[in-house]
Amino acid sequence: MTLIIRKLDKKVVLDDYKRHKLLYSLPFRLNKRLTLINQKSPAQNLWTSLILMLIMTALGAFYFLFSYSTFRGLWYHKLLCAFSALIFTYLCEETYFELYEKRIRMDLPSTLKKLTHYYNLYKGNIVPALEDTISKCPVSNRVFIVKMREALGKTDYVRQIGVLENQMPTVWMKMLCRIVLFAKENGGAAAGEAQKIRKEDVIASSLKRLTNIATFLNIEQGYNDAELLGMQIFVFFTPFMVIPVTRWYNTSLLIDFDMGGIYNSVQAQSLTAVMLFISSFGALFIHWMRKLQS
Amino acid sequence: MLVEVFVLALLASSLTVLVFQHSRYQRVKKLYRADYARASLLKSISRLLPFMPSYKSRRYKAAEALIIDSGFKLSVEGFYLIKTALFIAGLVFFTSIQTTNIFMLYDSVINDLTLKRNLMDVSDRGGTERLELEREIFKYVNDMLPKEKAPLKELESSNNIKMYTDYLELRIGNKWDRLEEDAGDIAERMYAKLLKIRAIETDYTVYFKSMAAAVSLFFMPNIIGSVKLKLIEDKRDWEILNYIYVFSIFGRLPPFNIKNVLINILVISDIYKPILSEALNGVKSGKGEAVFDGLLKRVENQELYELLEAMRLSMNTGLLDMMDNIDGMAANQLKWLEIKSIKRRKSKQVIAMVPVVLAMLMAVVYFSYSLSTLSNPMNFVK
Repeated sequence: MTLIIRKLDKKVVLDDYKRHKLLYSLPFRLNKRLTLINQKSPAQNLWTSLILMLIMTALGAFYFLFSYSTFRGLWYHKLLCAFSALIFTYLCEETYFELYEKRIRMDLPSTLKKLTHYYNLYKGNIVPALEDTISKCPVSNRVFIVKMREALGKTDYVRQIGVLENQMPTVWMKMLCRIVLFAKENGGAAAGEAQKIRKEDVIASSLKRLTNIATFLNIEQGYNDAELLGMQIFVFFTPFMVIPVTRWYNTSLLIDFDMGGIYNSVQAQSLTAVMLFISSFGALFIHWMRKLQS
Repeated sequence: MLVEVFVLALLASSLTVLVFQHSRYQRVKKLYRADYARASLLKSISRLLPFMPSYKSRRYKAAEALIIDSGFKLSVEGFYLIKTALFIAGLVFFTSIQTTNIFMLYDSVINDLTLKRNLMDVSDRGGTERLELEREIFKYVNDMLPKEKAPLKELESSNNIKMYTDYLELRIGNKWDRLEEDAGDIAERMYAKLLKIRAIETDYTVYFKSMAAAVSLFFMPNIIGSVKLKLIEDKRDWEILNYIYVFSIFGRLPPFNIKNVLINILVISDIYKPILSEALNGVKSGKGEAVFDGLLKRVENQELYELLEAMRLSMNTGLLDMMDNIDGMAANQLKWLEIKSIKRRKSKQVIAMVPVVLAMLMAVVYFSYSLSTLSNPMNFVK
C-alpha cells in the first residue's frame, strides 16, 4: 500500500496502470474519476476509492445473493444471475458518480454569475474576484475555484492552469480555466479600455455567455435526461418489486391447494432468470442512451 | 449429439488459436512495441476469420465507415474479431442451454408417471420405488426397440401401434409378473414415452434456434453501431452549439485569429475532432482557405457547414467583423435545438420504451404464472 501511495505521489500515469495491469484497473479507474470530481490527489483518494470498490462489490454480492436465492438448479440461470449482478454493480458506480457530476454541472451557472459579479466589482482584477467567489459560490464548485486561485498565484501560472484544465470534469470548466488565464494576463487592461470607450469588458461578456450556455444546457439536457432516468429506474427495479410481491401473493393464494412451492419449478425459474436479464440489460441500454445524448 | 461435438470442436479450435496467437503476441511484444504487436496479432487472427472482408472491398469500406461514424475506436480487423467471438460464444452458450434443456426433457419424460393417466390415478404415486421401476421398464423397452430397429416414422405409423403395444405388453408381462398396474396400460404408457423420446432425439430445430441466436449476436455490433448513429445525432448538435459559443467567446479575445478559436474549440470537441484538427493544421500550414474549401465539400451536417463557412469567411473579412453574425448563429441554434429536442425526445422515448415494455411483459407473465397453473393443475403435478 505504501508503495502504491508513493507511486501515486510521484504522479504515476494512471492510464499506464489501467492498460497494463488488469488487477489495478478497477480501483485506479475509480480513483481517476474521483480525482476529477473532488480535485484531491490520487494518493489522497486511494482509501476512498478502495472503500468505494468494497461497497460496490458488496452491493453486487447482495444482488447476486438475492437473485441466486430464487434459483435451485440450472447453470445458465446462475450465469445470468452473475451477469445481472455485474451490470448492477456497474450501474451503482455510474449512479454514484453521476450524482456528483450533476451537482457540479447544476451549480456551475451560479458560480459563473458570482464570478462575473466580483470581476466587474474589482474592475477586471481576477484574483480578488476569485477569492470572493470562493466563499460565495456553491460548495460543489468551491474546490475548482480554489484550485484556479492557487494556480494563478504561482509563478508558472500558465503551465499550472494548463495542468488544471486537463483535470476539470466538464468542458465548461475547461473553458473557464482558459478565460481566467486570459483575465489574469489582460483583464485589468481590457476592462480599462472598455470603460474608456463605454463598452462592455470582453471577459465579463465571455463569462456571461458561459453562464447562458451552461444554464441552457442544464435545462434542456435535464429535460432529456429526466424522462429516460425514470424509465431506467423503473426497468432496473422491476424484478425487485415483482418477484417478492408475486411470490407472497400467489403463494398465499395457492397454499390451500398444496401448491405453495409453485415458483420453485424450472419454468418459473427460467422466467425469473429472463426477467432479471431483461431488467439489467434494459437498464444498461437506457443508461447508454442517456450517456450518448449529451 | 453431433451438434454438441461440432460446437465443442469449434470451441476447442478457437481456444487453441487464441493460445497460439497469445504466445506469438508475447514474443513479438518482446522484440517490438506493444502497439505493433497488437496490430500484428489482429492482422494474423483476421486471416483466420471466415467472414472477414478483403482489404478495401465494398464490405470492408462499409464496416470502416460504420466504425468511424459511430466512434467505436476499433480497426476493421478488431471489429470482425469481436463479431466472430460473439458468434462462437453465443453458439456455445445457446447450444449448451439447449443440450441442458433436452437432457431435462429426456429425464422428465422417463420419470413421468402421469402420462396416459388421470389425476386420480396418480395419487398412488408410490415414491422412489415406483419411480425406479418406471425407469427400469423404460430402459428395458428402449433396449428392446432401439432407434435403428424402430425409428420414429415406424413408431408413428398407425398400422404399427397395435402390433408394438401388444408386443410390449407381452414382454413386460413376462418379465415383471407381480405388477400392481395392468401390463397393457404400462405398455401403452411406455410406447407413448418411446414416441416422445424419439421425437426429442430427432428434433434438430432447437439447434437451429441456437444457430439463429448466435447469428443475431454476430450482427450485434452492427446493430449497436446503427443505433448509436441514430442516438448520437443529438450529441452532434449539442457539440456544434458548444463550438459556436466557444467561437463567440474566444473570437472576441486577442490575438483575434481563427487559429486561436480552433485551438479552443478542439479542447471541447469529441465527435468532430478529426475535422477540426484538419482545419487547424491547414490554418497552421498557411493553406487555411483551401483546407476549409475541402472540408465544406465533405461535411454533411448543416450547422457545422455554416460554422466552417463563417470561419472561412472570417479569414478574409477579419474575425471581429464576424462576431455579431456568430452571436446570431448561436441564438438561432439555441432556438433550433429547443424545437429539435422536443421532437427527438419523443423518438428516444419510443426506443427506451422497448426495454420498459419487455420488463412489464415479463412481470405480467411472472405474476400470472401461478394463476395459469391453477387453471390446469396437471402442469404442476408434472
